[in-house]
Amino acid sequence: MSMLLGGTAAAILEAMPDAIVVTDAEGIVVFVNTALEAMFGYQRADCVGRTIELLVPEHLHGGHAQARRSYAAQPRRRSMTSGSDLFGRHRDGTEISIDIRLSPLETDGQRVLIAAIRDVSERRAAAEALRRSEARLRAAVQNLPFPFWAYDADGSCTMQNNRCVEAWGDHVGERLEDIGLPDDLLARWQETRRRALAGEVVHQEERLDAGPELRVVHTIAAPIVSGEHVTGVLGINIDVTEERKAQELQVELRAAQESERLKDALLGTVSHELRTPISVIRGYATLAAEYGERLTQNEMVGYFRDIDRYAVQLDRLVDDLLTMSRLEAGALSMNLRPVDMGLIVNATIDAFRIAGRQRDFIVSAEAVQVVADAGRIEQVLSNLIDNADKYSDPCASIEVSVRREGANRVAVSVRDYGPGVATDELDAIFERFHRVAGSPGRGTGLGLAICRSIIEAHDGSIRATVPPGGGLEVTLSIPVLDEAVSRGAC
Amino acid sequence: MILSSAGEALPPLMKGPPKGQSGRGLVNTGALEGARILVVEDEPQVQDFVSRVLQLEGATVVTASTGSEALARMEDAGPFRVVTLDLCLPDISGWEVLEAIRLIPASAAACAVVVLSAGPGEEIARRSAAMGAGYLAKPTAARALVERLASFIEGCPSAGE
Repeated sequence: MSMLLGGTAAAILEAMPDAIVVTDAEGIVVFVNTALEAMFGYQRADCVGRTIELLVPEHLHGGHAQARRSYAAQPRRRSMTSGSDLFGRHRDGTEISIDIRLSPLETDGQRVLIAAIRDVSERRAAAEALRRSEARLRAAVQNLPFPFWAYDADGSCTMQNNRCVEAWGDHVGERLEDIGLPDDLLARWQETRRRALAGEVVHQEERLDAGPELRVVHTIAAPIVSGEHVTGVLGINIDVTEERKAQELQVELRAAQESERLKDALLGTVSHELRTPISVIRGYATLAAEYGERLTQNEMVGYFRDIDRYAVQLDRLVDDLLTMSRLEAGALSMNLRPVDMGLIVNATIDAFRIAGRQRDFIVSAEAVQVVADAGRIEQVLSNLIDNADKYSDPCASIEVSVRREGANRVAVSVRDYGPGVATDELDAIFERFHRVAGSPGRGTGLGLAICRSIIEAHDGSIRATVPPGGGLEVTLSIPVLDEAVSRGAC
Repeated sequence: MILSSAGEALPPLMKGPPKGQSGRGLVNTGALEGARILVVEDEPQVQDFVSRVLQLEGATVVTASTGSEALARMEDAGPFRVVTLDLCLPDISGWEVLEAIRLIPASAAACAVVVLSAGPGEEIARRSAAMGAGYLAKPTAARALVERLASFIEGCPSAGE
């Protein structure tokens, strides 16, 4: 025990949890406690009488001796750590990260310096690890290949990465409302922020007018949850323009392929439908030409009649095909004007009778004004009545009715008492070239398809049902003329 | 009179049928003379045309308008030397009829089948050939029908011959 320290003082220092070294004014060690022995690996006897530099890493000896001398000139209690990391030297040469607190002490006219040393290796390592981890995280966020941003609960921007600054400008510290977004976009993002602050992960996609072209941006916003509270919102914007373009192309391509396939199928059907009358014409014509001498006059006349009948059928088919394709291309103009649906119905039935055809009609028609192409609607009704006539027993009636359907539509029905159509075929009869199994006679297979196209061009619909009592009822429904328009027009 | 380079007189156009074996048919081999033929065709006028031409060639014709009717005629009115088969029938397809015909023991080997179709030519020709049947595209002229059937019968001798 040094003569410079009293027994009591030494006992107190011995009991301290910190490592303690006491030096005289020249830096000669006069006392170390047990904790210092443990920390530096020396025995007390190894240290006492040596300069304090024994405990300082060699590369710091010069600086340390100088600092020690200047401190000795103006001693005061202070921490040595302020500003720099300190290191001690273990007996085995390893460096120990330390914190030192210096206290000058006058005892018996002698000045000594007490240094309390604490091993802070672990604390420094932890702080360093935290610093590195934060730096890594920051670098990761900064270098995300898409904009990243965060807002606090009060609505101020707390963070933007590089891409975000490039895309939107630097708005850290500003509120969403103050960064000059277009009104509609601001409203959408406020809503997104509101939902995220309520705890929801929000996915949102929008088209942004960004320079030369529209970009499709997918935004994901999520709540920042700290404990049980949402303290802000963070989010990313991902540009999905190319993906969406590719998807749209894919959809278009599929639609084009489907349309091509349908066109091929239709072409196959059309050519088959065209070839059938040609087969008859060619057959009978060559039959008459090759075997004419052996055929009776009646047979010859019969063949020529059939040839003509099929030529007419062929002509009708070509007409219907043209009408159909014009309707589909939207090239058949509708001559729309206010007209009474009841009048169109009566005109159609009159035309049927003028053609010398016999049929009992039961008509119940109320006067309803519509905006329609009267000629086209008459074409539809005449087609429906022809079908009803064709499939009915000659003595059976055909019922035609015009009635309002709700406030805005008028329904016109043509009902026969013929064999009807199987319920699973009721929709199919409006398709091109659909043939009802076992149907007599031969139309072009396009009549009802054309009817449907014409009615659809009137913003209407057409359907077939099997009414109670059998037969078939075809009903078309189109909008009535608006009351106000009606008064103005008439 | 038109002369060929060999100096022979060519038949003038539209002068009527050339003399066949019987002095009546379009082909002079008489291949169709007395042959029993089943005409399967749902279009009435086409059926009538084919039947009439074959009758004028001296064949005995039985007709059917559906696939099931065709198979019934195979059973109750066969055997037939030739079947002309439309592919587009209201009940079952002509191909199914063809497969069924091949399964009828009495007619499997003996019966020649000629497919008549207005469908896509090459595909049907290939499939017909693969199934041992002849093929004739619709629409067809009377002469082409007779020649095709005659040559098919000659190239496809029945079991009895």
